[in-house]
Formats: sequence, structure tokens, C-alpha cells
Amino acid sequence: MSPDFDRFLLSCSHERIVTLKDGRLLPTLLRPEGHHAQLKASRDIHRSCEGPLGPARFRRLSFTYNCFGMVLANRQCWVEPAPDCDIDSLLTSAGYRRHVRVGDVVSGDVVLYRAQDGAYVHIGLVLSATRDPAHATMKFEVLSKWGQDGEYIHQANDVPLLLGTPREYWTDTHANEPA
Amino acid sequence: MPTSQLEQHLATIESTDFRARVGLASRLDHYVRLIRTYPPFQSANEVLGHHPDLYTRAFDKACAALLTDTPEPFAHPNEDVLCAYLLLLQPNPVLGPQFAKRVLEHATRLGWAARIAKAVVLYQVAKEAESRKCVEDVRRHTLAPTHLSERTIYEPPAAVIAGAQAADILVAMTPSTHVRDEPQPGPSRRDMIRRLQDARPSADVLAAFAS
Repeated sequence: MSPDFDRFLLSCSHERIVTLKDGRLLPTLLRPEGHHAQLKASRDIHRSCEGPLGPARFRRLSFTYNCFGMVLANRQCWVEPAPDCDIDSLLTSAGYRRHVRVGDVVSGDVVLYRAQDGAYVHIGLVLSATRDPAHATMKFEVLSKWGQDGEYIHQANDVPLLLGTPREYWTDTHANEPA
Repeated sequence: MPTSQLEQHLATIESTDFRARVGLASRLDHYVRLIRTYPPFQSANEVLGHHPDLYTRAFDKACAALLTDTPEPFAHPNEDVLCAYLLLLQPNPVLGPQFAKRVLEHATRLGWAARIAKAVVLYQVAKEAESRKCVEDVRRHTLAPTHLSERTIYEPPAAVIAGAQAADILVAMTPSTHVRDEPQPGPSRRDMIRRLQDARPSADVLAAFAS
């Protein structure tokens, strides 16, 4: 398959534009909702992850938005940054700044997942951040949307392999804000 | 033997395993990569590469997947499979655009698949014309960001509009041998809009109103 075709394919992917905090335009899509049977099949795929012993808790399911749409567009649409889009500048445009220290992460911050090749593939919202003195680390409970499948509450590392691993944490709070 | 191999690969592509894999993609490039790197997809591609006569069989399977009953206004139940078929059939200069066109005809009921179908058609059009200018023209008329940003939320999905335009372009520009079995096209959507815009009351009509 020619790489030329792939480039062309990706240039055709935008349907709607939303404006970010600093006026930057972000391409988005409006996708049709899945039929009840489709939604059920979609949930069944990850059923083994759910339950009291599973690593993830199901929250809701809709085909109309993805993880970026959940974080950047309030679940209103499917947000698909272009492959050559600089995610750092995108999150900065949306009012976020990168956490230098993992210990500073608080509820409401954003966690960015990257694949092995460094490409960003997934994003989630931090629900809670707790210290784990036994292992001298932090534990993050995250809410994220798994592609077109469901929204799940899970530990930061407990995502399907194809969604990468948590690499960066971003916040929209600022140091000069009143406590 | 290659026929049964192909059937087997296509059956795997239509299985839940494939759906579970590609459903996780949030970005189109990731999505396309997951489809292309799916081993049964690669194997099917290889079989078709060695036995081009089997494209018709893949085309028949693709059409069967497309014609699955879809209750309005939901997404097509086989949209991931359709995307795989679109990419699988794309190298075939006849069946690729023909299937893409059929998908576009169902575009009102599709979102995800129509997007790729549109790209396949546009690419095919540009390739056949063998002209850089054509690519630029297609982009300018259907996909320019300035054009998209002017759309309001009340308009029909842009994929449908662009898809219909792409289908019109395809019919207008594809050599007649490629669409031999298709009915002759009527005026394109763009022509009709242009005609409506150009329609002005004649002097006689204006005079009649004035009197």
C-alpha cells in the first residue's frame, strides 16, 4: 500500500472544527451512535476487565466520542488530532501545562499515554492520586475512554496494551491561583 | 486453495477479534495502522496480490457486509469490517472505487467508514487523472479547512457532503469502462447547486411583476 495513499487518507479526516482556549482550531468528527446490539458487543469485548476482581470499572458507553473528545471536548464529539500534530502545543492551547513532578498530580489532571514508538495514543482524567509509601510511588485512579468502546475507571497502568503506557501528566491549575 | 485461504482470512477479519483490536484506536492513523498490521489482513492482501482474480470474491463479501441491515440513525454494524474491505480492495482500479462508491451511497448511515471511502474515491480520482492539479482541486473543493470552518452545526455531516461530491467527481472523471455497469449519472450535486444559484428571473418575469 502506498504511503502516498495514507497521507491522502489522513488529510481527509476532518469534519468539524472547535476552538480551543487560545483560539486554536481543533478538527473533530460527529459520529453516529452505535445500535444497542453494537454497544453490547463492544462492552462484551472488555467484560473480562470488569467486575470486582477485574482491573477496570465500567462507567458508560457511547460511540460518539473518544478519549480526546472526553478530555478536550466534554464528550461532545470525536476529537482526532492529526498525526503530525504536536500534542504538547495542543494541550498548551487547551490551557494545560506539563507536571514536572509526578508528586504534584492532583484530581482533575490529565494523563497522556504513549506507544512504544513515542506516539501519543490515549489520554485520561486523573480521578484520584494517592501516595504509596510501601513502594515509594504514586497511585493514580484514572477515568478514560477506550477508543470507541466504553469509559472505564482504572488504575493508570491498567489499560489494554494497544493504548500504550502512562508517560506524562498535565494540569490546568496554575501556581498563582488562590488556594 | 488460495480461495479457501482468502475465505478464511476474510472470515477472521469479520470476527470479533478484529473488532476488539481496531475499536481501541482513537486516531485515524492509529486505526489504519491497526487494520494494516492485523495478520489476517496482511495475509488476505498477499493472497490478492498473487491472485488478482480473487478480488471479485472479496468484493462480493464486502458488498454482503455493506448490505447488513442497519437501523437508522445508528452506525453501520460492520463499519470496521467495511474499512478493512475498503483498504483491501483499494489497489484494484475497478473494484476499489466501485465499492467505495457503494459505501458512499450509504453514507448517511455511516460515519467512520464513509470517511475512508471518501478518501479512497478521492485518491483514485486523483490517481487516474495523474495530475497534481487534480489533487489540489479536489482538496480545495471538498476539504479545505476554511471551507469546513464555515459550516454550522445544523448542516448535514460533512463526510456525507464530501462523499457525495467525491462520488460525483468519480463518475465525472472515471473512464467509462470503470462504471460500465452503473446507470448514466444525472447532473451532479454541484451542477444543480450552481444552476440554482445562477437562476435569475428573466426580464419578462420582472416586467410582469412590475406591472
